[in-house]
Amino acid sequence: MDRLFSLIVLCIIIIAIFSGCYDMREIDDVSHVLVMGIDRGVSDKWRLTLQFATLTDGQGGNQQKAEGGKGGGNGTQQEDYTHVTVDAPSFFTGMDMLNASIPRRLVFTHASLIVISEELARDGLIGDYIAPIMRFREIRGAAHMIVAKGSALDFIKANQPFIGTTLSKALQTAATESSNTGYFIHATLRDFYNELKSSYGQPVLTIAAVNEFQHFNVKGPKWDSEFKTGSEYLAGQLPRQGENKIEYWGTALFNESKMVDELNGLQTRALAIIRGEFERGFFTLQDPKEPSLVVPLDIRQDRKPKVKVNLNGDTPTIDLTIYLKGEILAIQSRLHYEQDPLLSLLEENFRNRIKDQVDQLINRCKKQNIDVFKFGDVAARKFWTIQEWEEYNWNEKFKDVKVNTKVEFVIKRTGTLMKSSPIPGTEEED
Amino acid sequence: MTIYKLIKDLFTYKEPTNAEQFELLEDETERTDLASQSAQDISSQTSQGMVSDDFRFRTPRGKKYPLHVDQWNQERKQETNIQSESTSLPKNRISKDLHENRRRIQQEFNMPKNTDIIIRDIKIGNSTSAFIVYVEGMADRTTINDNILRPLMTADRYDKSGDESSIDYIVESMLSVDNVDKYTTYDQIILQILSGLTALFIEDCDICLIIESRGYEKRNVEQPITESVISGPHEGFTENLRTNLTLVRRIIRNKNLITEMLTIGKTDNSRCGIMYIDGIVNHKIVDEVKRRIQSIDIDFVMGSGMLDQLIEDHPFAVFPQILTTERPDRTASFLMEGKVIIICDGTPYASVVPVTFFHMFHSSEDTFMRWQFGTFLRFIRLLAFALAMFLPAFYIALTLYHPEMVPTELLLAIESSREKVPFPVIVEILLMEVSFELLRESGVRVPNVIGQTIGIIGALILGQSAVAANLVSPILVIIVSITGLGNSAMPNYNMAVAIRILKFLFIFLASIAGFYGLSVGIFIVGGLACSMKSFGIPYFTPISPKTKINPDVVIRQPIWRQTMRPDTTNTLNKRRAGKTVRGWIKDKGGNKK
Amino acid sequence: MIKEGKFGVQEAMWLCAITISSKVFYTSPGLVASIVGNASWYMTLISMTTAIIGFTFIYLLLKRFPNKDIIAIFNDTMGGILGFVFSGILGLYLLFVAVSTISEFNEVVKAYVFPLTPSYVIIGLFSVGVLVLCLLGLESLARFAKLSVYAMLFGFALILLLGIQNYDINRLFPIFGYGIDKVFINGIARSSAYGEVIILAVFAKSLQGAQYIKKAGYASLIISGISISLSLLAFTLSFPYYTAMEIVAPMYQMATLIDYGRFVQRVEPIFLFIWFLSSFIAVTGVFYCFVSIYCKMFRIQDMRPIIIGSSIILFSGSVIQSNIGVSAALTIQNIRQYGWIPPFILPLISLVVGLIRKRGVKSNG
Repeated sequence: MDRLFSLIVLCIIIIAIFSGCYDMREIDDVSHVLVMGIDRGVSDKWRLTLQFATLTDGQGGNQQKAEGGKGGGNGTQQEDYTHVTVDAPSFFTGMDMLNASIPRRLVFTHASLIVISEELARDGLIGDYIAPIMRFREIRGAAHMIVAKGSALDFIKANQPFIGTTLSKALQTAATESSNTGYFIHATLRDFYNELKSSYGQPVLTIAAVNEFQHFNVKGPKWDSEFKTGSEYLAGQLPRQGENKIEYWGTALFNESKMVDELNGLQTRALAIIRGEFERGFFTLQDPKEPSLVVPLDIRQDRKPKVKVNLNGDTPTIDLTIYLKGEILAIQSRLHYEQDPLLSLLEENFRNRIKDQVDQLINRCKKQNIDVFKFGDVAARKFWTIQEWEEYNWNEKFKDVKVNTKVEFVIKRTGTLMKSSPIPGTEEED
Repeated sequence: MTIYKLIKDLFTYKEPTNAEQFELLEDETERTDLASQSAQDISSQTSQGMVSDDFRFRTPRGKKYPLHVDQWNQERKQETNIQSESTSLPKNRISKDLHENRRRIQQEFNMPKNTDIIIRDIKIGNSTSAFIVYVEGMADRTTINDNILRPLMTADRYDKSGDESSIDYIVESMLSVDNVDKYTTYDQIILQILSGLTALFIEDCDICLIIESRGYEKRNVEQPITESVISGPHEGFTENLRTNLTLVRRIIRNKNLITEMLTIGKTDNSRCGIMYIDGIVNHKIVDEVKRRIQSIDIDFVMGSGMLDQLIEDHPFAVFPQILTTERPDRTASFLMEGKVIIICDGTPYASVVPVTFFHMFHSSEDTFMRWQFGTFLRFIRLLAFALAMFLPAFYIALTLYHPEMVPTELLLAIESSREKVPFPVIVEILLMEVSFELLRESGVRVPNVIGQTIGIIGALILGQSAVAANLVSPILVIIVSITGLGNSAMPNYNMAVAIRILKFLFIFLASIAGFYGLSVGIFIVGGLACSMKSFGIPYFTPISPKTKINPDVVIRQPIWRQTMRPDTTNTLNKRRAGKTVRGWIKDKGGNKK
Repeated sequence: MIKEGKFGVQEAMWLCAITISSKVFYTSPGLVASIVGNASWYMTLISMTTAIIGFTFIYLLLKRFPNKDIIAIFNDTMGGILGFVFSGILGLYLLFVAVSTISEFNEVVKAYVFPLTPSYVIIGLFSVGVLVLCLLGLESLARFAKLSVYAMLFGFALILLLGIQNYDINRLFPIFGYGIDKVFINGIARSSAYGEVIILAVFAKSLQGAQYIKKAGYASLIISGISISLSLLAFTLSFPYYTAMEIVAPMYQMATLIDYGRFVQRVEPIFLFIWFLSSFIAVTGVFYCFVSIYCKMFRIQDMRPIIIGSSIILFSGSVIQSNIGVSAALTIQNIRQYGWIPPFILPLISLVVGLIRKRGVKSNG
């Protein structure tokens, strides 16, 4: 027993001497990159932009302030988050080049957002770029990936926390916000990579943009009673003003690694609905009886859409059934939409609208011959082996596909009001 | 040179020393014997407690029907008496000459240099010369004055023939003391005097009467200090062996509770008691305990702490293999599980063998509280174990090797809080851990009045000012405090110390190779722990090796489900309760479930 | 003779099951995916069935020679020289398995966790663990396996459950992968993945009797078959077949994708514990059996010096193997495909010869 004991001690000492703690990195010797941006470069092929925290805490470690301490009265004008940019032949060379000027080692394990410029995406260069960095162990497959309108550099410049002080928290919540609106699709690097190489379909990415608030018209003729759904903007064109120039809006559609199309908010919702990723969103519906007024609805997915693929015949046919449920948020006309027959009318109206949008979107994608709806996943069930499936070449066949859409929609709740009684004096009773 | 020898030993071949390993294996023959043995109904024997109707009392063949304890003691004494008579040298025997005896006693006790021994000459019934010997302070003066001296000196009827009958007369009619024995050899007599009894030598008589008169100063029964509980009894052992045995016996009022006395120290003649319940305990364990204790050749054993070190299986292992408890109730429950208890004179602890790893997490509170609470507390303790052992190492590994696992916000917080700390994390954590250990140690040493203050305020102030001085980062203070808290939650102090030591090993390994080093550490320490045995029982029974589980290992199931004793010790009597513990529960048909 | 201790069915079963199923943490799932595509999860069940048939022969052999281990049986049936050769092949096979497991472990650890740490440190630490546990003996190892299996099963289940968010049932289709014929052929050939069950036969004497070996063997094969199948299923559901084959350690990669809100993400380092511990147990078990075979072949009474010496062979073998480069590693992977021959065919031959030569106990005639 004592021999064994001394043997263990000896071994541990030897190991300790030889180990040398190679992979040990003191936590304050590194800088954790939070956002990576990639543009086409000018001096070299790529332009790499990295954003990280500056940790300007000011008063030192004993302050309980977590980080940043925005404007903590210390007088330093340094931002909480800063960024560096370099033009480099490859990602890794760029990283080393940057390290020459940054006193800390850059670490990417906490990079939760990868920004790619639209230009790069449209040129079809993403495939060249994404495939190599997936191999790097510090890059996480779960990082969110977006396409930025304009340059990634500008996006990162504008990307500063404006509520709270933590950027990483802001990034996370912004990315998960898609489930509350459906205006953009949650896509990670791993998702993109999988779909890029896929024989089942084509990738999509979220579009983000820096909104310079040019579309917000301070003066001008006031809006008349014309109806607009409010979602049909492209990214960066939302008529808004105030803090935070960043907006996540819409979807970039890809054919292989080339970005071929951009969807606006409304179309993105339709895409999310077809893919079964739509969780919830407020829709504004034109009042069927009083066209100048609207009925806002809170729409949720009842269950995942049902997709049936029929490969018999020359062209594949797809039966798509979408299940949605809704809740009335407000009835401006105060008509009795809570019950039949007006309720059915409302439902029918909405059903048709969704069907129109979905059909439009599918046709749009068929023109481009890109299956971004994951129909291919279902089609693959019809095959026994991978060879047969790859031979069939779904990605080529998609342009001829015939889709029959059916929308199931019911209004399940009417909100907190069971009915709305008229406002006396403003209108007469029916 | 010793290092040289160690290294030489490592690289040279030695024949394996075939150390005798005690292993408690299931004995097939014993089993069959048990089955064929005519069983006796214990309900007729036991006065209370065991209620079930199929509670069978089994004894292996060839074993004598257990005697009542005092009967048994008597028998033993007679045996020893006879033995000593036949083997002792004439020189060792007391003589008929009173003066000779007195001279001998004086010589043996180094009188008059030794002033503690009192020899009092008396005349029994005004005629017969005699003297009593006792140790001042060890013997109770009232007993000697009132119950020994007075009846002897005032006696009017005493014939001084000095033969057996006159001695018997003294014992039977004169001495009003509960326990009087006859001895004839000096060795034994001296031993008895030293334990506080009074020896009476009578003229013309070669028998010495040893009269019970022990009455030394001792501590009262007080609350246990290291094992306090909220629900459950609040009395703890004292330094006095007799009191401790009594405390246990008071809980288990059963005639099969056996106390055997063994002498251990060769010079200090200290004694220890081995307690077990005949009929439940596996006799192999008792034999093994006795074998180990009797073989000890040392001049001086202070108490259970020392004895434990002499009889434990793996002196080089970190984990304790003998459980010490301060609580008579816990001791009693161990007895009922078929364990052997060793109580030493001099320390307020009982040692329990054999024990497993899981016993270290049990507390008597678990049993006294409802099973949900008990189970919950045990989970808390296991959590405390994990925290105390691994948390600092985990922190080291996380920050140095796996920062990806820390949530980004927290990571940035740690980063910025470490901005002005000049040390690497490992130095930082060692600084804090060592100062915490210092605090803990000084908290024990410092006089009681300010001890409490040192403990709590010291930690607070130290932590706070270390952070203020930019010596450590604030998060580290939290880590170290939680580690300390986890350690204090261990019910077993020995285990807690073991964890404190292992904690540093894991810190070291984690700083070498992160989680990888930590895993290697767990593998080696775990393997070593798995190879351990406590008196023939593997350390992780009943989980590994798997034995039949009494539902009281980690999850403490309701008491009425614990119908069997733990299988680990191969108790002779497996059942501890009847099939229907709660006899009042009946199913629909009116039958007992 | 050599004291290997005694232990129960449960310990042997879990030791064996961990030894077999620790492979899923390495490169083999990716390799399997490149051969059969998304059909790997039931392919391994075919392998398991094959291995169960193979184990039946081992069991029959052990039953015929009660209270003897496989080395003694080889000696008995095949005669001194041929039996010696058989035992030697088996021992070398086990050493090969141990060495290649460590070097594969090293590759994966370096790829994902410790890119800068040199191989000899990783392998060195590994060898120290193996050495110590070997010195403590098989009994301790089996007990440790049983003890740690609870934590491992919990962590394993957690990974599989947390991964649900990335599962896509459609990735199982086309159901036959690259063709049902390929699935079957590879399924049978890949029974080598379950070859470690032979270690039960090596320490047969530690288990009291053949019926316990039978229990432990079948149970461990089924448990490891199910757990391997489940993890392959999870990984097929998480990654489509065309990217699955690219990944070095799919199980680890799967853990990196877990992402629930801001807190439950990037949890894969926790997963490392299961991976490391199971690898330690697996290699120690196999390596111990190698030393045991060696000692029994040469009738060496004291294993300890042999263990110390062999662990240096283990260490240097693994370092060499991990230094010879990627191409050689692939060759070794290919060799491993034939790994089913030593554990299953040798006992079969021995059984047949034993039957012909009418050795051993007649099967309750």
